[in-house]
Amino acid sequence: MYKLFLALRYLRKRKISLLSVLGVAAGVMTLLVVTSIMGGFARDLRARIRGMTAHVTVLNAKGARYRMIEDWEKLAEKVKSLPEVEAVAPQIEWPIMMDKGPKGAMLVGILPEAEAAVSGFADHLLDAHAPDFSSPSGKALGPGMWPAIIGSNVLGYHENKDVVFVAAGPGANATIADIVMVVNAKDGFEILVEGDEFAGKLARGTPETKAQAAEWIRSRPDAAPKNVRALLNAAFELIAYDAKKENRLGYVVFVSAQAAPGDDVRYAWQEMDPDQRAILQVSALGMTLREQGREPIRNAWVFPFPPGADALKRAKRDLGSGWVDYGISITTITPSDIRERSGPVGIQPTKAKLAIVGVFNSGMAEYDSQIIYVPLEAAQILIKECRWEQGEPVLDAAGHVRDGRINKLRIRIRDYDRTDEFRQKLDKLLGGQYDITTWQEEKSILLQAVAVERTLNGVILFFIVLVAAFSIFAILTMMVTEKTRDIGILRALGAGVPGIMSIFLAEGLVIGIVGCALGAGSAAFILDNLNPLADEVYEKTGWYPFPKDIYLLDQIPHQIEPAVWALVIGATLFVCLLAALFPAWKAARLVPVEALRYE
Amino acid sequence: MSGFLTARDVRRDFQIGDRTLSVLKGIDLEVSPGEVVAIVGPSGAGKSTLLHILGLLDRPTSGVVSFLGKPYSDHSDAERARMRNSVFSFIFQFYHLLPELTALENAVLPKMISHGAVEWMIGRREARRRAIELLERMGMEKRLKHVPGALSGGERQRVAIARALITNPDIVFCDEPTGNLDTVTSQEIQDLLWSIAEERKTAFVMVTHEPSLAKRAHRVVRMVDGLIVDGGMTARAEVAGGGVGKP
Repeated sequence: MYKLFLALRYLRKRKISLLSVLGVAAGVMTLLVVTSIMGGFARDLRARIRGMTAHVTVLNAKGARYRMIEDWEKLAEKVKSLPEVEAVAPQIEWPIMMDKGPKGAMLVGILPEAEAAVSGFADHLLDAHAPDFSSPSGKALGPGMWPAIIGSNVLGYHENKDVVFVAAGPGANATIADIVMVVNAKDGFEILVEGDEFAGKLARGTPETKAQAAEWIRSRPDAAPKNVRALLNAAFELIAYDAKKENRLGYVVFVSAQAAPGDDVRYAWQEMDPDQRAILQVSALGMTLREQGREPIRNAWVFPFPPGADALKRAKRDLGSGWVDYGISITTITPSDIRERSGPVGIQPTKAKLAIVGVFNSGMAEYDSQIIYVPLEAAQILIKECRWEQGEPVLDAAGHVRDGRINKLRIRIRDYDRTDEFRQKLDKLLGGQYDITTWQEEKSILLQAVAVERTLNGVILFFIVLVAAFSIFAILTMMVTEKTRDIGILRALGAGVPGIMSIFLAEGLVIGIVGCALGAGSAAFILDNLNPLADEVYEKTGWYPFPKDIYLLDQIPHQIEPAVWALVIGATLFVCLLAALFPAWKAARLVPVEALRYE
Repeated sequence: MSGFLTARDVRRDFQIGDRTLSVLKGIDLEVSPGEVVAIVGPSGAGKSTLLHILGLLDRPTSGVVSFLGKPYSDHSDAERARMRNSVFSFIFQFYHLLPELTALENAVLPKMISHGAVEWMIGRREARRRAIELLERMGMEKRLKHVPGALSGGERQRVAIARALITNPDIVFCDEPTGNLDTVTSQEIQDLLWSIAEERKTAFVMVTHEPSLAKRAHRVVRMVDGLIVDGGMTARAEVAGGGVGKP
């Protein structure tokens, strides 16, 4: 009993041991915060991969891309017979070339309802319109034009296009329609201002170059020059006020492709209230909040900054339907062309026009910059994977294609963690004729990289704990020397060798336990307030700890895993004990008589 | 042979560089239960070394020390520690209290050492009561919460005495218990020790320079140069009154 009593008493009387406690706490805190954030990042990443890919995918045999699956309805029925299967969806995937750019992309033909049942496709759409490729305006598409839902980055705006943000201010009487619209049109800038009070204050102008645009904005007498800040060459913002100059109605933020990631204006955008940002993202897509019968903005490259999933979902919920009436033309070489190597003049590329009826944003750059969804039948016609006679697809009475083929059957199963089991079962059922892949394999290298980085970080940060352990070692060694006489006294009073050792081991352990408690407590607090704290840091220092555009996440993610916390705390306590071992052994080795003689 | 505390031909050599210093050169000593033995002699005669060996703080180079007929060399380290805790007690010249603990905590420390965590939960109150009783007996009732640094020499030694007695030991070893005190305090402590010895019939083996203290002992052992020159063996007749020696 005396061991713990004395250990605690000694620690309480030695203020320096507080240093070790703080060291351990700092180490434990950093370790837990970093691993929890990385764990959260990995979890979000997996969730996103899962969201866009199906749990299990059946491919045509042995990876030959142009070999299609015939009679997929029969295959789907067979797959559905397994009890684990929740839904299946056919897909035809084919690489195309976009004429604009030119730039490659992936044409993906889907049955929208089936696809929504299998993946998170419907959750990632940027407008509230049902994902069925119909036009909310009810306008029929022109001949030879197919509806498409494109990834938010397919048009590559942040690679070679200027980005325009239109932001609404917090003014109480300001709505989106009162606000400035800026369009980086082909023929220069066009700045439109609408609204009851504010109308006409900022008139139209069409300067030809960006520099002129900035100059033009600065030159407007009613734009209150002191409120206009031209920031760098690459970015500027314009703050517009109402007539009484009391309410900030809105401001225009312009960020070109040359703007550095750390640019102030980008942060101004990131700092914005998520709801406000959502409004802007939608408005930047050419949607209007007030039904004013305005013509949609044409021939304009107006795209939002990569938005966060939350803001997008809110936008989807709040803002009704939207319609981007914009066409892109594509070129492709069909699989049959490759198979047959034929055609009157060799291989002849097929051209087509797509009308963008929707935009999706999954947060996975690879998908957002690649995928163009079209209806399954449209894809089958585009790449000639259906019955085809005399250069025309053969349609039935209802206007559907016949013998349409696919190259992927996507499957959603009940337990997404048990894909391997399911794969074996499915492979047996299908007689080994098909390649079967799982969602884990889809990005396995990325996931592994995150896992490796996390482990590495853990190891590196554990050095902080080791340094703290060294301080425990130093302090306890000092204490043993200082307490030589007292150890002799304790021995004379009947304390055994194990007892003396225990006192010092207990001191190491108590430092470890208190340090772990402090560290874990502050880690829990930090993780709980992660985003407000990050914002606070940005406000105070101008440095953003978690650049949202790099991670494509609005919020810093985190995940508290009890096993990881137990491991960190266990390892820390072990190291503290280890650090105390030598001093304890030294103390126990003292000969009582000599220790007593020590004055 | 079944003496209470017996030393037979005890030798103790110290190695200093390449020189061997024989501090004890063959000691034969017996102590009976309840006997108060004073060991006197000039400095460097080996009194303290003998005391340490008898009290299990040190091991002899050769020779046998036994308690109740059982030689110390038969004891394991744990057993020796247990004996130091419950059978023997020490009172030192420099008090040797733990500076971080209060008088009361110092006094109950031996009890704390002998008790496990659970036992201590049960026995704590009783041990504290006993320690308070002992400290009060020594006139320390107002000083229970003081740390040694706040106590005078005499007070510290009283705490040390209380600590020595709390386990009801069979033998108390005192190494110059009054050596560090002024005359008046020394006298008080001597009286205290003496009355306790009388009261409790506890055996005392004390090394002392104080003639007044030695004079009151049942027996005086005189040591010179590592040898006992007088009084080593118990003469039962000398045991005044209280001796409850074994037959």
